Amino acid sequence: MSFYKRKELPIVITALCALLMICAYFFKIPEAKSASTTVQTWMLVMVNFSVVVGFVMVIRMHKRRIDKRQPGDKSWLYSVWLIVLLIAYVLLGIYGVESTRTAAPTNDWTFNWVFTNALVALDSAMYSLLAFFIASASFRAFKARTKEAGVLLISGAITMLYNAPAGSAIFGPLAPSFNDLGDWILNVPNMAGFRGILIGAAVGAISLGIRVLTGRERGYLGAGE
Amino acid sequence: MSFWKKLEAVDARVIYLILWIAIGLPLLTPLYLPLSISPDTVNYHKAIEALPAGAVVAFGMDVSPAGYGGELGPQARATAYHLFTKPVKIVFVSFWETGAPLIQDVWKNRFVADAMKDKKYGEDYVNLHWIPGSETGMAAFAEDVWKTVPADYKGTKLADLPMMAKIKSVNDFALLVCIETGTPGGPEYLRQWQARNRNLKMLVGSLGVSVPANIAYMASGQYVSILRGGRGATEYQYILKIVTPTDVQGSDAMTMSHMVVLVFLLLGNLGYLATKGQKGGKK
Repeated sequence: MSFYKRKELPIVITALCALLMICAYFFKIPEAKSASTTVQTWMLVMVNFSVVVGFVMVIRMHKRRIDKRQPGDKSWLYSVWLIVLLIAYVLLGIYGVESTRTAAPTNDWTFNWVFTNALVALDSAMYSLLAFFIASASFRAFKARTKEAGVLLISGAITMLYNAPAGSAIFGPLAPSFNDLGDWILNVPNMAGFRGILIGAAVGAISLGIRVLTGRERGYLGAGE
Repeated sequence: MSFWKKLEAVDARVIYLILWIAIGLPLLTPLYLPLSISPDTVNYHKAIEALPAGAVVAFGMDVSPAGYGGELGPQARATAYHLFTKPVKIVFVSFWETGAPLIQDVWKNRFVADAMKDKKYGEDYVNLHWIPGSETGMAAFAEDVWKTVPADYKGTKLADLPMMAKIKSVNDFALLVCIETGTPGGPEYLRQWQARNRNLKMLVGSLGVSVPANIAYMASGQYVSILRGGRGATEYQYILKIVTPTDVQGSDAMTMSHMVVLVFLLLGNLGYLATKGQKGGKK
């Protein structure tokens, strides 16, 4: 097998980087700290390159969709629209940097205007559509079919009311008691559940880290042997 | 067909229309629904009030446009306004590429712009814009600010920004305010920043949906306090006395949408109980 295709080299590099980070974090070794900062800076540079790779990959993927379009299926038009907007927005960003001679395109009025008035507005609108689906789903699906579902339903309703800006105030003089109840649900049963999830996830992350460090976890190297 | 069965078979579009009216009504005219201030918002305000003169504050604008447009925008603007009224140094930064452009949008708010009048860029506040790399970027920034971000959003070198002379690593920050949509956000800051600087206080502005997950960090004392979604934002604006009719409209619309969902929840369950066991009904 070609030297470049062998998996030992990436595993050794990963293990060395991981050991360096662990040493820098847990021990006060100035050399390790300095080396880890340098490696982290490399990572930031690589992230910037990965944006370019991502840009090319997205265009390739959607170009393939356009090439394989079927008669009667108009969904390929979305791919055309995506590529047009992607390239237009990149060009707008480059123009923004060049026209203002600064480090960020956000200093350019046009780029900023498009970002704030198109992206923010559209993204917020998409997110707010959830309210309509939740309203419909709560009416049709959220039923107290069992005792457990009943508990979930009641606690969910209280939490929802508690989180609404004027939710508790509608109870008038009983508002403080209602707030206490909302606090209790969040601070006792909810927190107990979330702590369990957090601790479980942390233990999982540690074991995954050990597997990567020892070369047992190879998923990040890609598919195949 | 019984009333409940008819109700259960109601078209989803009718539900959407009712919700649309309920949300639209306060957007046309503010209802000024009553609001109580939660202790978390009071503690959030107190933590900023207690900052000593000259303290360095990191303002993490880690938001998506969706989160910013609704709940996090008012939180960010109120927090920025409050910080600008205090004699502190502010470092704006974002680990979300979508959050960085919104830092300048926060500055455009009339209350924030008013409070910024007496502040000088580079001496009282800086904008370090977007740092790539997510959690790794946070770690790199925490270790060495200058190596990670050589220049600000305008391309000015950090050496030319007087306030940056004393800000070299996370150990130089007294407070971190993190307005967060998701990952990277509060928990990543805990791991990469607070783990390196145990004295770093943290305030988190969170989406309503993320509040249950953030509560655990507050109980452990790692977060000083959190702003709870849109409700927290409006409460904070009331405390700072910068609430506008538009903010009240947003807050009222949010309350109305919650109420409608609750009414549907109630009706749906009443219908279920009424038809339960009936021939052809729910079992």
